[in-house]
Amino acid sequence: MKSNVDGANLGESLKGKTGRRYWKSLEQLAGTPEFQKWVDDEFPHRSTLLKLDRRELLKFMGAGMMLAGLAASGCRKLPEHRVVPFIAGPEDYVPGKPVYYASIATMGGYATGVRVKTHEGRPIKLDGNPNHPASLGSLDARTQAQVLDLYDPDRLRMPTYKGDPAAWSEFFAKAGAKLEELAPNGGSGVVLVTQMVGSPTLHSQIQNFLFRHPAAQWVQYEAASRRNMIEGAAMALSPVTESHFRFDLAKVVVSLDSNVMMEGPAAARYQRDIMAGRDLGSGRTEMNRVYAVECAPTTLGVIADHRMPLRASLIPAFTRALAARLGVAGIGAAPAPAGVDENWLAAMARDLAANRGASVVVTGDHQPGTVHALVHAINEHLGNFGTTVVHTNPVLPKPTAEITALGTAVEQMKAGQVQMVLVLGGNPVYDSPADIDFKGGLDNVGFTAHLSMHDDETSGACQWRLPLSHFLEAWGDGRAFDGTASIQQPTILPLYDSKSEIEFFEALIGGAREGMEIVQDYWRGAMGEAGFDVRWHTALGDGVIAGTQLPAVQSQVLQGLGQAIAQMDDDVASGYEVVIQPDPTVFDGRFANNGWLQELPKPISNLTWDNSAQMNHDTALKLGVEIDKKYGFIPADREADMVHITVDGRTVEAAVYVNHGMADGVVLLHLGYGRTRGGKVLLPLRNKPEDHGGGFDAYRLFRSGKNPWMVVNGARFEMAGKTYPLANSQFHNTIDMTKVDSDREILEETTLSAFLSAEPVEHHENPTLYDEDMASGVIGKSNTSVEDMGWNDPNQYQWAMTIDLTLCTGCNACVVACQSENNIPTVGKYQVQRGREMHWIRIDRYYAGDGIGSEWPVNDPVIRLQPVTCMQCENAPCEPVCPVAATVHSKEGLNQMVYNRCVGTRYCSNNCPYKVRRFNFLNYGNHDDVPVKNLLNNPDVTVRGRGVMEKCTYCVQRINHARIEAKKRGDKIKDGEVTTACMDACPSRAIVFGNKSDETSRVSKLLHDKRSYKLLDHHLNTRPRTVYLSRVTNPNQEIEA
Amino acid sequence: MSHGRDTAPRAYGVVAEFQTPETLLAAAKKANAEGYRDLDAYSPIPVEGLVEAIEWDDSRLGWLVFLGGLAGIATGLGLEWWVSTVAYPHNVGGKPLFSLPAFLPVFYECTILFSAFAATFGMLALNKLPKPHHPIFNSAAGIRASQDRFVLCIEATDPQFDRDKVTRFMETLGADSVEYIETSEGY
Amino acid sequence: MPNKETFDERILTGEQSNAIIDEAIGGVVLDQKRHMHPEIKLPMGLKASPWMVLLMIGFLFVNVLLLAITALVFTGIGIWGNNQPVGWGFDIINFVWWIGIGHAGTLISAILLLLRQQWRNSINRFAEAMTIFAVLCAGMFPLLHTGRPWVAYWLFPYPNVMGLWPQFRSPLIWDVFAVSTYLTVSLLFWYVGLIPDFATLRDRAKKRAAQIVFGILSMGWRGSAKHWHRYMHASIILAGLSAPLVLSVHSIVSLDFAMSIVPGWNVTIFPPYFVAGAVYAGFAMVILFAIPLRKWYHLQDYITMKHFDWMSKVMLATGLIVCYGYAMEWFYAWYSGTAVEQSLIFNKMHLFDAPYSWAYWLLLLCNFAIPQGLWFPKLRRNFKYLFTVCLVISVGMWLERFVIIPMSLTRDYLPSSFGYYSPTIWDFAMFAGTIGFFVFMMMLFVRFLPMITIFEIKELKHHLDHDKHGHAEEVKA
Repeated sequence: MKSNVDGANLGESLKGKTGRRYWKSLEQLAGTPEFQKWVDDEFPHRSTLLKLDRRELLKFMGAGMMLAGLAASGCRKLPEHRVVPFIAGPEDYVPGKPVYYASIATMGGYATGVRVKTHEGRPIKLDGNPNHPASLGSLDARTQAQVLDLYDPDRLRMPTYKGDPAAWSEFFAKAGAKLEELAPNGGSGVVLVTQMVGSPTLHSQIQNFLFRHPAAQWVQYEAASRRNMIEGAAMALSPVTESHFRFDLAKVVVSLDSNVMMEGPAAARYQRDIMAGRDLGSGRTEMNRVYAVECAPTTLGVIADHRMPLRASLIPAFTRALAARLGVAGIGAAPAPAGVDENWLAAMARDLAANRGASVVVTGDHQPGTVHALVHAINEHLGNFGTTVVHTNPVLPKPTAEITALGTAVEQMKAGQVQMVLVLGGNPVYDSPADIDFKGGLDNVGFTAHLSMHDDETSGACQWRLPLSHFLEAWGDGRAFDGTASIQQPTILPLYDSKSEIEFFEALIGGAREGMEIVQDYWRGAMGEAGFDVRWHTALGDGVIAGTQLPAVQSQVLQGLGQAIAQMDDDVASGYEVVIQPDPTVFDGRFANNGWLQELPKPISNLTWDNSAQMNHDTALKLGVEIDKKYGFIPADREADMVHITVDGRTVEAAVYVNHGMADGVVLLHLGYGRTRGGKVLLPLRNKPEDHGGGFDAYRLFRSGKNPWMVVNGARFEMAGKTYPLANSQFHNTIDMTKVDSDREILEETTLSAFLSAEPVEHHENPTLYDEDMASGVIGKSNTSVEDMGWNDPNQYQWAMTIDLTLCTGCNACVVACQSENNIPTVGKYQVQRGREMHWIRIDRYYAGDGIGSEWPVNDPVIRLQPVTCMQCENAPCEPVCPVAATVHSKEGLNQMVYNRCVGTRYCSNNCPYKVRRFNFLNYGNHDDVPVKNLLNNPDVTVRGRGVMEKCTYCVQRINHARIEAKKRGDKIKDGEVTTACMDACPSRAIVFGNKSDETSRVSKLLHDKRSYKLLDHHLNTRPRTVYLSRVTNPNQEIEA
Repeated sequence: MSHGRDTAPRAYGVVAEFQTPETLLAAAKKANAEGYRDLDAYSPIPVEGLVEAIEWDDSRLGWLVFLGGLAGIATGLGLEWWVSTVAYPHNVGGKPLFSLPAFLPVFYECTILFSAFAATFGMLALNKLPKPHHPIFNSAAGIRASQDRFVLCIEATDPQFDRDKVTRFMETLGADSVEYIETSEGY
Repeated sequence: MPNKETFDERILTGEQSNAIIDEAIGGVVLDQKRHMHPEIKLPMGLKASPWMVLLMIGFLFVNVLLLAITALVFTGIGIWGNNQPVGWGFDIINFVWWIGIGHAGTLISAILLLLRQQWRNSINRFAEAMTIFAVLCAGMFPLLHTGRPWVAYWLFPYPNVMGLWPQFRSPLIWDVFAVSTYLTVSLLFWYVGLIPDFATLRDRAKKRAAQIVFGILSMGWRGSAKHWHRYMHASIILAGLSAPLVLSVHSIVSLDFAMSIVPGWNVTIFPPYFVAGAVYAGFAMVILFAIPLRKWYHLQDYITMKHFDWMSKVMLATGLIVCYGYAMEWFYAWYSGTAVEQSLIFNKMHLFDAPYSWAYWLLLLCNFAIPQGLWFPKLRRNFKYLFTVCLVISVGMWLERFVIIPMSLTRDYLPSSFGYYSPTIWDFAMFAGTIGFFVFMMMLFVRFLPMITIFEIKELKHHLDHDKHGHAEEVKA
């Protein structure tokens, strides 16, 4: 169906207009029927030769993004007088040279410091801010990917009232009137629903609003809240404090079903600290020891020295047993739960006791408050308070999500006692517990508005849909997990007619200040006038406000807590139990429209584009899932069986994914999928749902009861009798590892003691067919070996990389960093199923053990991870087979890929033993019809066309940038001056890149490390430049024995 | 038939038509013994011993093919050497710039290609083909020489050529028919 | 088709004379009516000759081919099943399969000529035609399997403004030279062989058009003894060149795999094993065409039971060589002692675990089990069996390439990158399209060119007569 308004001629009609005037014209345009038709039609240009869903998708996005592009072109200029750059000021701003700004990204109310890379005023990449305590320079995958949301074509572009374009002025006029009307009785009947509020400025504004409307309600809700943690603190501590951990000081870490390295406000920081304690690279000879007791494999469990799968519902009992072994007061004797090895537990307890004040016991947000409370008791008993466990006053003004308050608010709405509901951010209609009918409530309210980046489920239920600014477009502030405050500064003017929460409140209370003034005024108040401008600018420059960290406070565990807990009997699952967690990539659903995160393989499972009902092998068999008997996995060539899960009469239909290493009887569901509104990426495609993921909505089983995260009893399961294709970036058949690996030697592994006593191994040179006699004396310069021609010349830079398998946790931060740095396209679920994902770096997952038959420990396998990217082999097998010399070696040892010369025979990929080459089977990277996508592109990296091979280049654009800088200085590139994107992102610092011909460089030191080995080299003599450092574990001898 | 270089019609030769290769061969031997030198025979199939019978030989073709082969090797190997060491040197998988073993297939194929060209076009050139028309086609026998007749021709250029003498001689050979043919072409 | 035919040792039967031979073979070309019967019944009461039916079917699939190519060029390789790690699928399978089929033609006309096998005369002409059309089909795939076919000419060494040159270490460049040389030399050889027959047709043609066309094609050949002398010299030389050529071409094709490091590809036995397989498949295809054609065009006197007997024996021999290749795979999996090789064999053979084991067992059935019947003269001379076996072998040889190419790629060094390959409708369309193209060209060939070498049959008859008259066998120069 063709429409005579499409992006192109709309573009024509708008040429030369600025972003602002353009909105008026769009409002006029939006009136016209063609335009409406065109907006409603999901795929306006459905005339492609073949109906390839992703391309249709792109075409639609294209038109949308074109609008955004025009807007952006009007807004691109930076507000120099306001924004202070991180490194260089606009005064020495050079076109083509990136400019960096410090800002923050906020999640769950907590801030993480980011460094925004902008080109010509376009934010194109997010890195961590080294000055920021929650980042220390690295950044998790989710935060990095949020730069894509900025250019999301599905964002709300203008305020609408009941679907019709409206102006902000209209909204505030109406809202003001409504508030006036309700003013007499103190604004009762007004309900504010926000996400977790961490921004001091915003909080003060809300207080201000509540001061004017004392009877108004403010409900703070987020699905993934830390309610249980707060509850535990309230139960155990006096004064009630928030605790965070100094893992860098811990010699022993015990995780009781927690995932501190992936979830929570300090995930990246904790990962850095824990892994720093395991880093042997810098000549350290000791490691911390990690025990993980968990219901499903986590990144922490994968790196743990000892891991035990245990039902989530047995963790309380296990914690009591541990406390008892340690002699925590009041617990008395507590037996270890069934199936737990007494010696294991006892040995762990002894290990903890032996490291008083140098250990940390943590538990997960989904464990009930009692467990958190008891863990406090244990930590105090171990003398960790004040050393590895630090207490501060709560960072958030309102530390916890108010599920009950939300419930009552909804009741009032239904009862007609509410006249006005303002939902600021968040998506409660989608992510409120299933037994709270938020939509039903809204339908019963006279004035409803939703401030949101997308037209999502909640917007759909509100009269006013108000565009929210992306955090890269707006002023704001926030506090890190330790209270350190930072300013959120915009790096681009809003692409659309949007407002931030702060601007929204300012306007709501009739103020006229702009975002920066509001934030500045607050901090002027907080810091005092004296030298404010200097401190302000320093704060913007550094990305943190010096001295705002919260002071540690003394906090003790209440008397008699032990007895109290000893009395409690926790409910234990009789059958299967359901555990619900935020999704590892799309979280609570807020990132569901982010293609990068949708296509990012979820840690360990490597699933993309869907959530699933995860369970271990035996559980799946018991449920009647069809599983390959020999290998214990659902084969790649078969679709996954679906299962019906019913809780309280609400049923979800989920595809089963067998996740080895989960506790028996546990079914793990992830939130964030089954979205029905809010963008094209998150929606299953109409014609081919199975090709476009979308998953199922686990919120239907999410209850407002005392622990929404677990359904210990009362979940019913039956096979749905259907199948569903899951897109897995790595097939399961990596299981017969020890059998295969015995010869292939893919993963090398040792224990700390063995490593310390081991002799250095010398790496033998492999024989070559082309020795001197073979090549010499034929014709003229024929006997020139490549060395003679100056390749591998030790007097030049010779780039190399080391990847420390001890440190990799599989968090995938490197994957997104690479995607963002190198303009790597996403390909969509169907293409991933076909095995055509484009990621240049991937994290391989292996289960150790023999896959054949029952001897394989199918329910408690050893899980190993290995990041693999182009090895830059000196004898690259891909090069000799290329008929057109499109991939050749540089004199600095890079295996170069000449995109323009590639004809696409794919022979190089066939001949690559590491399978790190990626082929553009379709026009994945094409933005001709998606001009705004180009705003996101890194101008230093070629965008690859259809039919061309691509792969990791060691971020050659960064090398050349550094080369230019060094030339300008007139000296050589210093060690650490060039970093690859993956290296920057890695919170564990597992990746080191540098010049190996410089003996003093970190990388050349690591290359000579005892642990270094080259993947497959002694089979194939590929001589990789990327070298692995074998995995070292620090097991407890008593358990080993 | 009229051709570019028409001249007055003159004798081309006398043709004798036979049924079988054997009789043709015998006739050719006799004619040769009689001292006729400018002989040729036309047959639908190659007849062994025929050229020997008329004491004629030509082995230049072999040499042409040999030269073609040499040219092939030179071109193939030369191209590979020049491209990979002079014109476009690259480090390809750490292999030497001149990787002889890997270069063999290409110049091998070049050798065969050039030789085959030499053989085919050499044969045609030596046979002065293509030649759309030839005086032999002026005789009925000449036409059937491509089907089921075996034809001996004593050409007018032969020093001993005399129409009546040759015709009489031909008749003694037991030919089915003897025919005197003329040509108006520039022979 | 005739199931039982009385078998005698002769390779030329019936009352023969040069004129009869001319009529029997040349007449097919000069007389359109020869293509219009036997009539076979079609649905809806239509009637058509087998020739017409095959021509039409072929034409239909030529259009399928064009559609598939258009879709491919406009959309990209993505419409096929190829993926990571399986960079090569149907495209290269079909390439190797077609190249292989071509080999029988050259083998018959070149090697059997050198070996002075008289029975080659009746079948070499259309075997050579098959060679050329098969190579044309094969050539399409390397061109179209590239991600950017419109720049595929970069594989040829030509001077360009950028000063870029091909990379001669790549087996794909070897392919370019080998296949293009093979096509050219085959064409030359074919044409040279046709010249005397063109002359015959020229002189027999009644229609002016035919006279002119064949006159031009025959280049004025007049069968002069001196010409014959050089002519025979040239064809011996061409045969001598084609023999090593045909061996080298499939060897080089096999090097595409043998030169790589992919387990299952990096195998030293590949060159001889591929050549044998090629001859195997090629002869099967020759028989598939010979059986019906001799019937439809009443050429039983020229293509006799003896010919089929010979060809069956050749198939049996080459088939056993191929099976020896399979045996070797097991051997070095065991002998090398490396897990990659062993798990590869496991992956091929394990009936329940390996996703493609069905292909492997089917391949053994097709290429090993069923053809063993050829040991028995009775079966060799049973056309139903022979025809079926040849079909089975063609399938089997295709499966062999399937087992070698995508299957090896699905499992190489890093288990994390193990993959799975499933072709799409477009893969099948391309394949079916080339088959259609092949049939179409063959039908045009039998219509417009003598499908048996006329002058060689005459020569053969002459020699046989001599033998009958008790003359000593004369050795042909």
